[in-house]
Amino acid sequence: MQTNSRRLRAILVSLLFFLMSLNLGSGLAEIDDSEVIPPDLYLYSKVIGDTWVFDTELDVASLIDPTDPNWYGTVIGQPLSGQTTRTVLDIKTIEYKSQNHTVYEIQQEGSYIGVGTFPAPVIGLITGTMLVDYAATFWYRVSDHAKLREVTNVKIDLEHLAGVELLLDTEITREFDSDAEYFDYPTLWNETWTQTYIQNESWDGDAGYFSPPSNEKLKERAYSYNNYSEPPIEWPECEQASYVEQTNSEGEATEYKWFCPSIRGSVVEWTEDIILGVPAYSELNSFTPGEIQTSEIEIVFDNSFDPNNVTLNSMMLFNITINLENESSLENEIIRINYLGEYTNWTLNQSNSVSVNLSSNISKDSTTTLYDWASHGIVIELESHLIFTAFTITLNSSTIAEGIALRSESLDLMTNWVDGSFNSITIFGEQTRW
Amino acid sequence: MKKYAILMATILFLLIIPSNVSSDDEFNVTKADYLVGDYFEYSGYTDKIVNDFKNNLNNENNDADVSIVESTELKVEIASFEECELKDYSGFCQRGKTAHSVNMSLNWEHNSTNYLNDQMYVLITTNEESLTTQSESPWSWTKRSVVVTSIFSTKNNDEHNVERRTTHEFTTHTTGLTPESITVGDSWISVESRELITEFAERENNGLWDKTITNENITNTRIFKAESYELLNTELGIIPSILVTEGDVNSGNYSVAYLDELGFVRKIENFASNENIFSTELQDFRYLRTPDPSAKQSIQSGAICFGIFLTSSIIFVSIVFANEYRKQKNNKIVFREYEQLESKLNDLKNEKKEKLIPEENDLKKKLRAFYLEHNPARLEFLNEIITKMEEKSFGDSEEHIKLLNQQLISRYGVDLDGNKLDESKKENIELPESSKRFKEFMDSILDD
Repeated sequence: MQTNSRRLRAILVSLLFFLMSLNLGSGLAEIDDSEVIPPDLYLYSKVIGDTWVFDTELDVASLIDPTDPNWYGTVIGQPLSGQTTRTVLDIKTIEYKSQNHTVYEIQQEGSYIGVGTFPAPVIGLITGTMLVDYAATFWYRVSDHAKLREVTNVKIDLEHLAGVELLLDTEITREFDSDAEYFDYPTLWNETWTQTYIQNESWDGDAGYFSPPSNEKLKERAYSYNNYSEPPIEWPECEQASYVEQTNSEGEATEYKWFCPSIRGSVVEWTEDIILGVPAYSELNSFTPGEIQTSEIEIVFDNSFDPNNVTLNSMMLFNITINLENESSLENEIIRINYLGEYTNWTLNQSNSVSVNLSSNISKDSTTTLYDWASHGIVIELESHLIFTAFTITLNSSTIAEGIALRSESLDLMTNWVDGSFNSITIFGEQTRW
Repeated sequence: MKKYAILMATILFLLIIPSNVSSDDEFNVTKADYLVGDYFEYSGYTDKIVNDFKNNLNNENNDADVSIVESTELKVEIASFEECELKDYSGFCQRGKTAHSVNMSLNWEHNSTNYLNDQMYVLITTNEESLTTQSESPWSWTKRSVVVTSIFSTKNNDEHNVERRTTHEFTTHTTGLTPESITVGDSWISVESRELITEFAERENNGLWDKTITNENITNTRIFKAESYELLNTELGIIPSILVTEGDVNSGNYSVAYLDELGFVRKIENFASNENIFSTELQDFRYLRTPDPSAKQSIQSGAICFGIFLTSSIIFVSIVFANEYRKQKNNKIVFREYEQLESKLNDLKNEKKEKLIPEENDLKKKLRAFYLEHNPARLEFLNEIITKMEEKSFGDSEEHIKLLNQQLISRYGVDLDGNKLDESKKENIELPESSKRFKEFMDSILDD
């Protein structure tokens, strides 16, 4: 009897464990099923004619410095609102800082309106409606989507009791000393990267009540891609989007983009400084795709060449074939390759193909950053047929190891270097507070 | 010969008189009253920073050869007057900014390091910002930071940089205020309670700062004494000042500040075990409220100057009179010509006066009087307001003046001419048609 009951107990316990294991197993399976692996972001080609319309709010209030006597009493209760239209106009070649680049020419236009109270001459404060007309052209490098230049025309009127006051009507040109690159292609999930560049800004026109900023503005930016989730607005095929955040070097958020590949852009974005230092929040209202090219550029890498593990000054070998829709011959036509700001020409054979061998050359790109200095974009163009493509190569880790080691050594070396200077300013600061 | 002896004796006598007039007891230091644009530049700070740095390297057995590439002297500037809130204080604050930087080159023996050319640049940047309240309040705020940046290249000629930064940010509550006017013999105690935030940070290649932050509350009791009247011999001349010590001089650990009679610091010294470990001296400054150049001199030096001036004047006048007397003996004076000359000279003077002083328009005069009575803070911007008004042709029409008066009445309850709010007249102002739709909103804002 005892033996039977033991057997029964053993069977029951086994059954219980079996059921538990089943339950656990099903739970894990459920998690596995539901877990979405966030995608890495790769360099993609924009299409001429792509048009995005955003509902935009300009946070003009944040521009007003409450410590500036010129703005005492300013009240801007609500952000200015309006629509922003962004269009890929063209693909061009531009010379920039003695280098040549293939760039997207992108136009962005908008009109915004809002009510505010401002200090005016004599009367002190006046309430009115601010009207902003904005039109900008950007030039983004095709090889890495880095912004090289932007020219903006902005006109701001204040419509008030006594009429209309022109606050600003000027053309603002911004140039960047090196790549103002937001995405670090290939942008890997959970990756962080940093970047430094200098923004030069010049004004041409009636500055009105505004003062042009100092010419050179150092931008130290850090980026992270560790959020892939539902964006603030619903958009077909963008139920989940890649949230890439930009911060300043103190870690304070400055910009973000909810990127969605199916619309080749952002569904929602926050821009730190659309113009005049005004932050802008934009939600996608409509997207009209441009006409996608049917002809293709096919790239086959040589077995000896791994684009994700490129050694310094090594040869990059790959074969290019053009697949035209009408299958016509392109023999003797010229393919143009843009790499590190230089063009090289390659002649297609009777199979519409060509073998390319390029040197990887330098060790880093023009931005001095922690990790993001070892990737470069290559642009391949068949100008005569307006076909182009681009891909990214990544240098291998041995290339950056020396720099990492030396930086670590230097940080150790300067452990106590701050202390003496800090004591001195403390003595001075305490004795000058009279 | 006798005449010369008498003359010399007179000059000497006149020179002696002023020194009896001056007195150290009368010398006092007033509280400085700064304006935006005031600055104070001190020498000796760069030397201190570089020497400390070299000593540090020696202590670390680092045999690098250090040379200064570039430096800017320590400068304190009055940056702005602004609205601020410090704990329970809300009102205007003065923002002061202090900055200093030095760029050094470090060189090691050939092939003794992994740095390209065995070279590194070290940039030490110091900044301090402070907010002090304009009206009486025990609160103040300070942020003080030092950043050391090291820039070097790898053997591949890739440039890199690393940085270390220390920051102190504190809000201070002070009890026991500094006397409004300091004279020799004064002493006072100030108790400072600080909420101190200390941050140590480091970063590589201009990336994100990796920070370690700690918070603590600190209370310091500081004892000051105005020890003596000193004639400070500086690059800017002999400067009368009061020497104020902080700390226990007998212990050998104390600080010394030489205060100018206008209230700012001429020199600072710091002693540890009676050894002078820190010294910096004012080498250039702009103090916009300086009454006139002579105000920067002491009573004594002022009196000396006055004595010299008086003596010279007497000698000059005597010579002129003697010459005139001699001339009158020899020549007859034609007074008519002189009369004509005098009248021409007067005409010329009047003409010049008219050209030099453009007449202020009525609106400016009225605005000045208005602001003086109702909003003195805006007086500082009066000229700017008038310039902008002229640029925009504002105030030319009667309509504008009506609008201005309406605004002023709304804000201050009184218009430019001193007329007070009259509800019955409020709606009488004719507004342009295009602007009427904004009036309702504007009224609601003004009512708030």
